[in-house]
Formats: sequence, structure tokens, C-alpha cells
Amino acid sequence: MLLVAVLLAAAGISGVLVVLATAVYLRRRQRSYLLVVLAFAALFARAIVALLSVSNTVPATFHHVLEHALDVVMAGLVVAAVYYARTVERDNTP
Amino acid sequence: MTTRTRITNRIDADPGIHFSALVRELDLAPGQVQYHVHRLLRADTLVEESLYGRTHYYPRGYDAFERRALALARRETSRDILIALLDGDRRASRLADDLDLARSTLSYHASRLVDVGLVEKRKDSQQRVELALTDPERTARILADIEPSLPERLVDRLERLLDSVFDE
Repeated sequence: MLLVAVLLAAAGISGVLVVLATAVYLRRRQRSYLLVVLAFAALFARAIVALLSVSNTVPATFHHVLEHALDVVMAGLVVAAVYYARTVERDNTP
Repeated sequence: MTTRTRITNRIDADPGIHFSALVRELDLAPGQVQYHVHRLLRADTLVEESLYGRTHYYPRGYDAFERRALALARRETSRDILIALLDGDRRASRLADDLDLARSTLSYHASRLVDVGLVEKRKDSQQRVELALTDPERTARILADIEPSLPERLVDRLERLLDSVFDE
């Protein structure tokens, strides 16, 4: 099924991004990098929720709300990451 | 492709690769690798160097300095130290802070690098320990030659990407 194939690809690629971003965060240990990890994790979670709704584990009526809520989370995390990057930069400047 | 050609190609592509990495990456039995490597060493196609518990293999044409540099530059902490030293002579205590290494860890790796002749240790006028590369140009070339694995490279690149986004 095409939808399942697309969702599996989305889960696979976003999963790789989570792993890479985690590795970067472990090097840097800064809040912005952690927020990027969480944003990629939200992207990954979105694919998982969609897969679960295909298999009817998540009720069909609910999965749209859940997925778009994850969109909100993702966008919010990216905004926060950018915001904290500026803050950290200012804090570091004597 | 014969097993022996695969082994030779791998070593050509990744000079200084050590025995267990060769076994792992080519998905061969240790005995198989041992047999072919032994034959290649006898035929003078390969050179080996044992350093700190690992046996590294090289194509012909690398001198002792290069062989040791290639071997140690693929060990992460040593590599970090070499890269930091490329920025210039450094005080050991500051290097440890910059690399976020415990003093004991730095001194362990630094003394290996000193042993193989890549790094020299000296004291400054206030008796503080300083480390410096003995041959910065060759070391830089060797560091650039060694290809980190794909996952390592991807992490580095994502790191650089995020840095450039956040540093704006």
C-alpha cells in the first residue's frame, strides 16, 4: 500500500534525523540543539501516529487532531530553538 | 572480486585500518582475514604496525611517522587533540578544558602522541606544560586524508548546519 510505504519512509528518515540530532546535542549540550532533537522527534512521532491510525490502533477521528497538534509542537520547538540560540549568544557576549 | 582483492582495496581506501575493523567491515571470518593479510605481508604488498593493542595495516609507501599518525588519528580523542593543536601551541590545562577532557585522559592520550613522535611536550617560562605538533603540515594532511565513517560525517555536517543557523 502506497500510504504505508510513504509513512514507513517518513518514519525511517525522521528516525535517522532524531539519532543524528541527538548525537549533535550530546556534543554541544545546549538548549537550542535539544529543541531541534525534540522537533525531529515530533516529526517522527507524527509518522508513527499515522501508521498507528492506518492499523486502527489510534481512532480515525482522533488522528488528525493528534497529528496537527504535533505540527504545532514541532513549529513551536523550532521557534524556541531559534529564540534560545539568540539568547545564548547574547548571554555569551561579555 | 576475490577476498584478497577486497582486503587490499579496503586497506588502500582506508590506510591504517585495524584488524577488527577489517573483519567487521568486510564481514569476513577473523581467520580468513588473518590468512590473507599474512600472505599479503609476505608478498610485501602490505605493511603492518602494532600500536597500543591494535594492529594497523597500510599499503606500501607510508613512512613510520605517517603510519603512526594514520593509526592514532582514527582514535577519536587523539584526533580531537591533534585538531586542537593545529590551531597552534597550547597549554595542556587549557586544552583539557576546551576539549572537555579530564586531565588524566588528556595526559594519557598526549603521552601516546608524544611517544609516537606526533606531539612534543615542553614547559613554558612559568613551568606550565605545553603541547605542540612536531610536524603540523604533515599532520594536517593526514587528518584530512582519513575518512571518518558515514554516520560520523553526517553528525558533523548536521552540527555545522545547526551551528550556522544558530550563530547568525
